Amino acid sequence: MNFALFKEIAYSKMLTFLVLYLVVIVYETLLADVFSLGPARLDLGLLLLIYVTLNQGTKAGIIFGFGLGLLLDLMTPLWLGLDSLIKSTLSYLVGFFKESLFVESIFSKLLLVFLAVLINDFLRFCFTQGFDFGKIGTILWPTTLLSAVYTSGVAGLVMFLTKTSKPKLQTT
Amino acid sequence: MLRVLGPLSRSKSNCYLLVSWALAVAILALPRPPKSSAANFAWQILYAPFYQAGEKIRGLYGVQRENQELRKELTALAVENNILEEERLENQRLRQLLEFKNILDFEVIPAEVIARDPNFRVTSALISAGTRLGVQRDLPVIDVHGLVGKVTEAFPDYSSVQMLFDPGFKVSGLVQRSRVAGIVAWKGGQLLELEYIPSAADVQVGDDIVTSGLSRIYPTGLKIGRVTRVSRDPQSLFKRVEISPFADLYKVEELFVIKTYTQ
Repeated sequence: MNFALFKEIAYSKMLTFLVLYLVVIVYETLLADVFSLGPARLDLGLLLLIYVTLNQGTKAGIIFGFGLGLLLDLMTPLWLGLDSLIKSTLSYLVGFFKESLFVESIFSKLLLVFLAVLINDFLRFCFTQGFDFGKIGTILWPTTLLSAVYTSGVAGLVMFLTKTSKPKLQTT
Repeated sequence: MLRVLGPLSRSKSNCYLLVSWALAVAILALPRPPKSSAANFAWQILYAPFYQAGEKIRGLYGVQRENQELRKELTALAVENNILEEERLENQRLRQLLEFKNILDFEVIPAEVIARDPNFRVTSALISAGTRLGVQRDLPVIDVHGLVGKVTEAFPDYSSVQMLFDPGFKVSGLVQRSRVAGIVAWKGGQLLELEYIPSAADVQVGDDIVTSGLSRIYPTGLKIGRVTRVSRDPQSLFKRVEISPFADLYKVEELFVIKTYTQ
């Protein structure tokens, strides 16, 4: 086995994760309010989680999700570990979704982001509110639906921009 | 079916998930005090610097916004202050005029300058009193300092005044101290001249010139100006006497038209 190559890949992934964590910290502390549209909140952490899972695989996504969840849980120490649980599960589901349903088109990726935001908020709500489903209609859905639409909209915009900015291969 | 179950059967991903769940549940299950203090410690290291920076940025933004608000307020206050200052000065002038009016022996009509000759040299002005108030042609016009001119045309609500600096304006003047008489006319610039003063006449710099009363328009004793220069031309029989008018024709705002007077 080539351990040097393995180490290099591991370090580069770790570095990528650290940079992304830093981005999330900066976003959560400085920019989250700026990018909020009324009750709709842009879930940048989740977007990065999906990006990592789709591009680097389920295992990397689970590790990244666990770390990301722990990082986000620092803001609500009472539930430390809960977001790690949710985010790693979401990474697994995204990986499963990708591998079994072949997520290639922009639309399916947007659907993935939309569902991920809904599931993330739903699971968090269930745990923190003691599975009181009576409150879901009044508390969770109005904001979560808007956030899901907003986050998937931003994801779509980013995907569109990156797709149009990529140089096209010339075919003869 | 196999394709759907395929990823689930991949043991590595499942292992990762199970391990992460186990770790997460273990962290969740930790007792509150150590969990909170550890989270707080990590928060201080990871988030606090950014929060502090954010607070500073927000503070600066707040200061900037406050600064803008204060500037707006300052501008409004400056405008208000200007208005108040104008009103104070107007009040001061009106008080002065009232006192002046009370000491006059004439019946006067107060008026305000509503338009002025836009040229460099003020030769005429429109005032806010007309025939409705009793203003007529050829009535003398004064301000608190002295003679300003005379009415050349009177309309129902306003009148036109010929000022001292009009080349056609002439008035019989008198050196108040020595009673030497002459004709006051515009000399050029912002100066008047007392013409036809014999070379031997007693006129000195600083003498006040008043109206002589040798006229059917102006009463005796209206102040015109002060002698600023006296010179003698050897070729001429007369002295050259320069006068600076008392009334500031460039700034005059409130005037009186002398309606009736007794000589």
